[in-house]
Amino acid sequence: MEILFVLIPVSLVLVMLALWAFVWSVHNQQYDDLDKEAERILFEQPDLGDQGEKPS
Amino acid sequence: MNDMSIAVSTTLSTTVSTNLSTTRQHFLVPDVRCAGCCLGIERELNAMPGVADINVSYAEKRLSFTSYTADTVDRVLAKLKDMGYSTAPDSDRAGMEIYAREKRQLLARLGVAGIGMMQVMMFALAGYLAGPQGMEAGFESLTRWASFMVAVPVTFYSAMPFHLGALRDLRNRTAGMDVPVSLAILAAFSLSTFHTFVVPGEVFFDSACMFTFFLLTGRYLELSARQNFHVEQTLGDHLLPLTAKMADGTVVSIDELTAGCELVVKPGSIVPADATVLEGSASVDESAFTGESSPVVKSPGARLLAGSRNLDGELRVSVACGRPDWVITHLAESYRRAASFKPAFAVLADRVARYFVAVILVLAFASGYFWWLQGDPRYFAIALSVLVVSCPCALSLATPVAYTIATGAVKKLGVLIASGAFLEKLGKVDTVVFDKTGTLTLGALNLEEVVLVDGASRERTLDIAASLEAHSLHPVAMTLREVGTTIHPVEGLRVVPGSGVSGSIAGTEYRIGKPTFATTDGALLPDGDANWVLLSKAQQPLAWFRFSDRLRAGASDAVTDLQHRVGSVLAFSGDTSAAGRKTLREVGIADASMGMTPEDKITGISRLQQSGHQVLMVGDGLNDAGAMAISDLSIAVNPVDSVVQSAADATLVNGDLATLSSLVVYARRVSRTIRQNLTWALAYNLSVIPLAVAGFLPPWMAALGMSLSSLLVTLNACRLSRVN
Repeated sequence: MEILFVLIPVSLVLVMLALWAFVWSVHNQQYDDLDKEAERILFEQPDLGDQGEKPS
Repeated sequence: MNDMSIAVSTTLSTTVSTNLSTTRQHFLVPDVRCAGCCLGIERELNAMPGVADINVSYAEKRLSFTSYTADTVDRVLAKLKDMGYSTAPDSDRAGMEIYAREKRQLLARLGVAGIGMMQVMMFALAGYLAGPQGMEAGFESLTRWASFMVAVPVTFYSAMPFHLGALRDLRNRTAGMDVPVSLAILAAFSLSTFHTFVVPGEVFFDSACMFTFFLLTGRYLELSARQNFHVEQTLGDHLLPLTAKMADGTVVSIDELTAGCELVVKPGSIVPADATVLEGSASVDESAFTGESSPVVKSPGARLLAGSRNLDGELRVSVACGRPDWVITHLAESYRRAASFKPAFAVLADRVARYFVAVILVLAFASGYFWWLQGDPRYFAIALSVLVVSCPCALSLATPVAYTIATGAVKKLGVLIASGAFLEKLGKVDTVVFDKTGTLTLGALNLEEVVLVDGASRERTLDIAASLEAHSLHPVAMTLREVGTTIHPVEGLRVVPGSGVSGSIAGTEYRIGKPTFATTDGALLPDGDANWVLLSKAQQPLAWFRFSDRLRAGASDAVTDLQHRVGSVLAFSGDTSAAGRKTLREVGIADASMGMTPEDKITGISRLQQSGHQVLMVGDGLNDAGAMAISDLSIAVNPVDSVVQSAADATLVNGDLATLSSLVVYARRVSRTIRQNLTWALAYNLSVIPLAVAGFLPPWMAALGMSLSSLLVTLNACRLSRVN
């Protein structure tokens, strides 16, 4: 079980990384408008370089 | 396009320059109805050259973009217009930006606290699972170290608002709520750190993190409620354009408009000021005020409101008054006041809370000291538990959120509140007094018949009548004004409320009003069963006007409902006619007093109050000011453009009497919710403190219980946003 002395500090590094990532994403305004982001997936994105049929 | 360019160059002064060639622009797009609109706009604008970083916020209805060329803004606005979206300058960007920033910071802190809490709980679980035999010293130390590492950001970043608040409170020599909270968190953290690095012992990182997380959640919910209210509140203000176009073509800022300025309002634009229509006819959307989506037709003489939308006709209008007197300004102020209202018992609760904090600090210290004297090693944990558990956060959190939400919700019902005490008092009402004309009936009296006496011509008598009533707000006056063609100047105008108007035109004295007022010897009415108004010349009958009035749709149902929910429903009417009495019988009011002058109404209401009744007066806010003032509560059923002159505590702008009983039900719900919250907060605190003092509550349980209690109270208040 001595491996815990390695694993736990490693997990702490990951936690710090996760905390930093979360705070960055909030300040990057990603949480400002959740309704819009939820519906973004429903929108057709124009295909770049695709010669196939594109519904209008 | 000219209007927009001018609006743009004025707006440029509110933008922020990022460097010499690009500027960041912000506009409001009030027509955005769903998130799909936002995405659609973003996609269209992304395809345009010279624009970047396009963002449309759904919650705030705001478009932001960086413009790279001089004509970008014009092109963007034109594109939006093509797509069918109107735009407005974002004049409250500073205010909204503050809210947005505050919310973002709070969310970041909340997330850190949440993640930290879960990590620390995970490490602490090892200790709980280890049971009485404990863990090996090495592992125990490891988990403590790990918990410490995670608890540092939570204690010093997430909980910082509490620490700063406590510092501020202490500097001002008050003991606010933040003091015990900050103290508890810091104490738990310091002792746990001591037990991690110096002397091994029990750690409380889990309690500190949990406490922080739940309290921040409560704060976040409260901020959201406040922000929603602010957005709805100011969206109305945002509707106003920065400039208006005068009749002679010059463009002025709307703040400079004064009574008498002539403006041109083009179709599709927002009416820039409270005004009267001079020329033209158009359908106008007043839904921002009344919630009524079907447009109202406005023709010359009609009153327009700043902030309403001109849909389809070009109007030439004359401004009625300056910006401070507009209905929209007045509404914004009274709403802010109403929402920040605190009922008497809430103010008392606040004061109690302040002393309470001092008491719990003493109590926590005393408990800790007692158990230390007993030699119990848990003395610090017990002190901590007492401190945490006796925090009266729930007590002060309950009421403000409830009132903010309730005031906004009531607007959805079609009621505009002028005074904050409205909802509180409405629940206690047991008698409703209705005015008849204009309240139970539509008050848009139709002129049914003109009986001429003495050979006068119909047009001339109507003109004289209209001239005398040119400035009156009485329903009869408004109908006469529409029918008369020429207004003559009147000298010596005298208004006797409840009786009539008298004045001289070209030297002859004319009177119009009740027959007893217009002539000295009571003249014989042409046909007994109607509401007759007499116009007299030198006190001799000149013409009789018969008006007919219709009951509002749903009036009798509304009366039955109120009789059922409130108690007694009465009517006071100034009308003496048999037709009036018949109307009242139709609507179901058995107890009706007729022929009441304004003074009679005042006496009637105070007599009811003396026998112990709480009276709600429902009437015409313009003509019943005295009765409205003296009753415990008053509601005016008036069109929204007379809200400013209304003397009532609230105005029913949707004209639907059924709303009254919904309102009473809702008001009772609000009082009940607040009472529930306060009862729960008090009962919880009082029952749990003895448990903590006796040592039965570990700190984590205390933290959990206390924060859940606050959360419960906030969520209970949030239920009020559902109006039905």
